Amino acid sequence: MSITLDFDAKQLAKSKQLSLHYLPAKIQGDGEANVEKCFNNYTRENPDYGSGILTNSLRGYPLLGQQANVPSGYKGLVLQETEKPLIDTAERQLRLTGQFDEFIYWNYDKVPSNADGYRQALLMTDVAEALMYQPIKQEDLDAEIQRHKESKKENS
Amino acid sequence: MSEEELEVKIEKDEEKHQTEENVNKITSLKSLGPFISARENSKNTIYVSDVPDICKEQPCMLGVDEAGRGPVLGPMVYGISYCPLESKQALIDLGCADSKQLTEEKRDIIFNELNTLDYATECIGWAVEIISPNVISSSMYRRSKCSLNEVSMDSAMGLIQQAIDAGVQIAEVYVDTVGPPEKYQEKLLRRFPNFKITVAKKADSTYPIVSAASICAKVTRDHALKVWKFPEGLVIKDNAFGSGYPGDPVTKRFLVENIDLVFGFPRLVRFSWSTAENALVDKAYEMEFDEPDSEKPKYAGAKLTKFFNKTTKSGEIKREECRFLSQRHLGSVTDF
Amino acid sequence: MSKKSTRSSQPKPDPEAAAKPTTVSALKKILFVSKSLLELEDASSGRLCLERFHHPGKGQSALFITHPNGQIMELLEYAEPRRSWLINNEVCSNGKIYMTMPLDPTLLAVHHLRKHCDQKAISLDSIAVEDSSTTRLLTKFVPSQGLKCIADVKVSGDLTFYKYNAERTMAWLALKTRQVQAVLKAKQIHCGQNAAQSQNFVRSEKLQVENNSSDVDYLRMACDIVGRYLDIDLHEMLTHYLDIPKEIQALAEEKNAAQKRKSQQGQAGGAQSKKIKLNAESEQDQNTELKKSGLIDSDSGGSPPTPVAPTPLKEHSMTAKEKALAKGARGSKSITSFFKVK
Repeated sequence: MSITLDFDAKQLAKSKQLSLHYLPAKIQGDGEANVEKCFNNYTRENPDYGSGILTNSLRGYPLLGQQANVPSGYKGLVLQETEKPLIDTAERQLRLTGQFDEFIYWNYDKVPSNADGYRQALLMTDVAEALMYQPIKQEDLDAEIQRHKESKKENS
Repeated sequence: MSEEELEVKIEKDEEKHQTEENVNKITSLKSLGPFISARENSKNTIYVSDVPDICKEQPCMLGVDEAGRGPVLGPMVYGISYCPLESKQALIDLGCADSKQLTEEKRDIIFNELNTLDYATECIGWAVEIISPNVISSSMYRRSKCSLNEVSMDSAMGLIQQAIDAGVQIAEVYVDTVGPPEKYQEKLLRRFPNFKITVAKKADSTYPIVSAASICAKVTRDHALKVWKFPEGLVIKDNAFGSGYPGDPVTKRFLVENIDLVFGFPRLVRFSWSTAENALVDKAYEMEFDEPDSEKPKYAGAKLTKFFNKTTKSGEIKREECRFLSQRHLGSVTDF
Repeated sequence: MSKKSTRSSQPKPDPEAAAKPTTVSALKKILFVSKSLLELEDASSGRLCLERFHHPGKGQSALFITHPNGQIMELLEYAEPRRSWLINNEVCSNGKIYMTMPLDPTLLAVHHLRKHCDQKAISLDSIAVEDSSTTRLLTKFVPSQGLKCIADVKVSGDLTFYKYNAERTMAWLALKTRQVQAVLKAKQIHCGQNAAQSQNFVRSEKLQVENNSSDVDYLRMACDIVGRYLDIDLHEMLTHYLDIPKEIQALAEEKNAAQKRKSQQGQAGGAQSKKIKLNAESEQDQNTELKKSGLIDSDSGGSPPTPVAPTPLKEHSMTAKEKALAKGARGSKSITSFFKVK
């Protein structure tokens, strides 16, 4: 099974810039939402919490937010599948709805910080790069094999 | 531009002019509405009247009361009023008696006279805080819950502080309360140890100065509802939401008819009321936030099982995701 | 006010609503994609693809993203328990973020070479003839430079044969692990083996400054990160190769050291722990004693090095069963007490 991301460079360049909010609640629903009037209308900057900190609320729950960039080296995409096939082996296609480079990150009653799971998760990119982009030289490998043999001898 | 259009434009300009003029000061009943509607209704608003000179010189009594504590919609308003101990008669002349016995009309008249008649403005001052329903909900839904009582006391003490800062010589404070008076009194005494403080149930029928505060609060709340504009774009004819009490059929209908699948109600509604919570069940998307701090189970240390590989029923070993990833809610994608 | 214990409205399933077809937007997904994957040629020539390959750490297939030019990355999902998106004028219940992560595909090849080329050298396309996805992985995405690190290569005419080399593989994995260890250290990422401590990052940024992870902590975490691409036995071999003490041993040793320090300070220490064993008449008393001795996890944050137990991030997603477990575990002995030197 494979899933094709069905767009090329041109389509990507032409795709819509989207405006996104990352909300701190599980919402069991999909579809139209009156985001502009019921939510954006109420976003305020509140320097009491720090510069650039935004406030709003969702169903009465207090939110604290901040403009966040898609991590550097990455592009934010919104993908959409028109219909998920019932058989898992079928070929699938994802269309490009649009792209984004920033979004508003919201916490439930907590000032966004490096302690947030989201920001901690981004550290994974550093780790993954270390695993990927530092090729191991043959001579280092031979040296390591040698070192290990010697240390084994010492211990025995 | 046709003549008709021009006329409309002139009218609008006049209206705008009038609004701008009145918007920062409440000088009569008429100016109360424009003052309120010029402010954001998702935030709290404080209004402090001019302090009569005599209140800066003579020892004063100060009354505190609230309006709109129970309703599921609209702001809660805290009010204070004060006057020299010797000016009690002015309050009685204005008709500041048991405010619960007064009709809405009568309260409006007293409020107007309080702000327009010389004998009143010369010795009586007042202030209100309009506590937005948006603020009420978000206070009560904080991670560490902040009860309505805490919100109330903070507002009352804030208003008293405003009066102090404005130069009012406070000697005696009278507070109406619905809850147990002792705790409230203790808290006020701790903050304001130099005042004679009386906290009592139904103080508004006993003390005319509390009655005056009650009238300011109640009239302000009524007007706040009348001039409520919905940033959500809703238009309700004559803003007829009913009393806001859960039993009121008009309020009930308003709640039922104005549910947004995602955002629930317009922010006129106090989401933290069980009436509002219940009304959303089945009618809006289910929504779940983190549990409040008080209801979280305490962390009990590393689980024993953490150190053993789990096996599934078929006997194969189930490996847990590396801690570096699982702690960060990261994992491979097996379902997509 | 509602007296419900969770902060959510939980409507009973409405049979009518359930019957309605899910809207198109239900299938929207948010992807953070590496810009290096987006250098796509125009039109026909090819598309990015999400493909399933065997993930040794999962013991099953997982998704990877491939580029027609031979790049491959791992697809990870960030799945905080309570998240959703607003996208322009829509709500999206899928609150995950899918993210492409750089990956050395040689790591994925280890499993296959170890399994099929341990005894004899074979060519890549005959390693897993019945499994086209593995053949595709090995022939299209694994670089020959990488294969040289884990196998002996024999060239005969047009054909190249590979024989798994356990010694080289282990040395290669060790070097990889040290690279990761270096990054963890450079980034001051908390890797301490104390489960409670390692949760500190969710509480406060300041606590990160107090990060006191040791070199072994970094190495163990790095080994676990590399190990998630390996079969479980190979992961264990790597842990052994790198001389990383078992986490449970380290924990027990740490506690014992703390215990010794304590008993040196107050002479009662040793006697007290004996008393604990004898004094079984009252569970309450016993628990109190155990807490004093630092042998059980106390939620009041008693003796160092166990700090006040912070709330683990994961706990938000606790099921009722887990809650019950956590509740039950309160006041029970910590694992380390079973390994105490008598």
